[in-house]
Amino acid sequence: MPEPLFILCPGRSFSSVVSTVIGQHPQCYGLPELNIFIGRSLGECWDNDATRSTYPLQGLKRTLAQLHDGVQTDETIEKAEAWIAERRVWSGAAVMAHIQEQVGDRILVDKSPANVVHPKVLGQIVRAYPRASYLQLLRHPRTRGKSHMAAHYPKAGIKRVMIDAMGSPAPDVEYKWHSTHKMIDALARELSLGQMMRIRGEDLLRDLRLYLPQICEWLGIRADAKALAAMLRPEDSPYACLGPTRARYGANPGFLANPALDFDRLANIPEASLDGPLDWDAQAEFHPDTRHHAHAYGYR
Amino acid sequence: MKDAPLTPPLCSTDAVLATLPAGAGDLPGAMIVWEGALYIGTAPGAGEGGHARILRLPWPGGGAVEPVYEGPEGSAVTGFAALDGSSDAGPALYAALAAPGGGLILQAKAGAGAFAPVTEPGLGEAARRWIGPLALWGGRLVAAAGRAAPLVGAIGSAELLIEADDGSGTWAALSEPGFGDPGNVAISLLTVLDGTLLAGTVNPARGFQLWQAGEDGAWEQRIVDGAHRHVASPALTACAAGEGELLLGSGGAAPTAADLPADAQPPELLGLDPATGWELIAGEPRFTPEGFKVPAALEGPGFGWVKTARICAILRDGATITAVLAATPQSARPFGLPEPGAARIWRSEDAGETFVEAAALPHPLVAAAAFDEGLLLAGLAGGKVRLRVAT
Repeated sequence: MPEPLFILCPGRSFSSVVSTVIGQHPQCYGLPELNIFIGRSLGECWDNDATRSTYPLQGLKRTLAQLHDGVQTDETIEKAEAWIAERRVWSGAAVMAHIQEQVGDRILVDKSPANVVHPKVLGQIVRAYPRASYLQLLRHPRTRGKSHMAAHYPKAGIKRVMIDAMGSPAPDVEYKWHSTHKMIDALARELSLGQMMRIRGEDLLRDLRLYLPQICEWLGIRADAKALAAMLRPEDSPYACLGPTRARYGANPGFLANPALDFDRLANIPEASLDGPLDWDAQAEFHPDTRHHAHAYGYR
Repeated sequence: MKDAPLTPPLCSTDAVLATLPAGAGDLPGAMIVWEGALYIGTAPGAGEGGHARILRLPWPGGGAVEPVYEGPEGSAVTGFAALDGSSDAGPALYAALAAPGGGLILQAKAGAGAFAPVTEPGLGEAARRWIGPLALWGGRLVAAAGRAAPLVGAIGSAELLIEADDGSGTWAALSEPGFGDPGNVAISLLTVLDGTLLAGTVNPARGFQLWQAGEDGAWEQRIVDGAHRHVASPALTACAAGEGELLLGSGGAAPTAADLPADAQPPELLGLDPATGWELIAGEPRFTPEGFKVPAALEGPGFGWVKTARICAILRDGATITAVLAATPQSARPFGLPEPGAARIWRSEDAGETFVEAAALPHPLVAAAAFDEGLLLAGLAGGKVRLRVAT
């Protein structure tokens, strides 16, 4: 069986669309957010997610319903919940192995945000998949921050945390970008040459026809016109829509509402700047560490 | 003091050519072989007083070191260029000098033995304190110039000037300062490939750029943004032509290897084919607007040795490629203990398909240069500069 592809990034980094696009390749299988490595067992993952959501592990339930029954309905989602309940002691890797059996000889593409919430979680994944492919997906900290704030803090005030022991406080939305990518960078240094690749989401989405064949070459899969055409139709994914009541999401809600690629809009994704006041805090600018970090990725 | 043994011994660096005279506190900044002699241009060490010297010694056998030029206080030799005897002016060696009162270009005629200025300070504007590197293009001298020492502050402009061809001694701009990009704080590399002038910039904010002169006076950008590695490749630091391509080495931005910043990233080795563009020989695989770049040698940055900061010299002899990598300075190490193997030499016998580590230099590397006879390595040992030949 092929090794999976893990897309690593903080949330609001284009991961839903990028993961689905790659996952539509005939030799891949794009997954919704499974979030099955956040705990040591499936039961822990369920309980953890249950603290945030009335309906935990929605992406996993949609996956199981789709693979077991070929359709995502209230009834098949309930069956998936029962399947999970019977396997609370399973590890995330055991669940992935089960999914792999269902999809056959295709590369599983996972982009669960929970994979990068803590180095322990990421470490658990890397130890389980030491030969997997890892794609670091970047987005400018300003536009990611704006997207994050719009989604999570539309009205509430912002929290502040320390970016480093000696530094000045910075909004946590900025810290999330910095700390997550710092963790991913550290992993890159431990992996084999070429095992982790990095791409700026803006570059990829502006010119999918240029970069998707490169990603295919890296993954060792076909890059012919038919494969590319399939990748450019993320809306064909069974997960690129809202699911049944008990498992409606599993990806960015905006993407689920409108999954087709708007090539004209994507081609004109504007350049953001590291200069100037923060959109979510007019009294502050990006922390020097964030600026330095973003420069390393070519952001300005 | 007996030198430590070198391992592995694929490349011999046993031959100690000379130890430079102590007391000047100066470090080699540029080296060239010309008319049967090795010329070494020096610069004061960082934070030290002193001045530039040009030292000469017999090449390749070595022998007594003879000072042939003493520069003004605060000066530094930044580069050499040799004019062969086919020119009307006859063979001559030129040296570029950075100096507080305005940079200079010096000239030594064959057989004359001494260097003397042949330009006004700053090539006519004394504010141009930094001159260098130099190149000879179409029989005329081309010089990079800056108004501050490159990389010391960010206000230095990377001007490119060419001498007038009427013998008037005047200089004209060959490009916009920094090729129009204020992020280009210096020009670190000038070379001529098949009659075409190429200039590599230092750009700490975005990564180096490589520019190529066109026949119509326009410049074409051949490599941008540190070959899309951005600030991890801020400067081009070495090159070698051969087999129809130009090999390029990247590195940390600093006037000399001894001044490299602590956070310098391991360097890359690239190949530029004038017709098709650049390829990666050793470095970080990446997706780029020019396609998926995978290192041909399947070696990562610094050939996998992460504590490297610069490719100091590249030697190309047919299918044999030898690259000298300088270590991150000891000052960058938390406790200041020496890095085992302060410089390493990697060699390929198959035009860059595979590389093996050929030798490790036990002393911190100050400078290196590639000549037909081999590589010359200037290392610091016991407070003195020791010159070794790697063959």
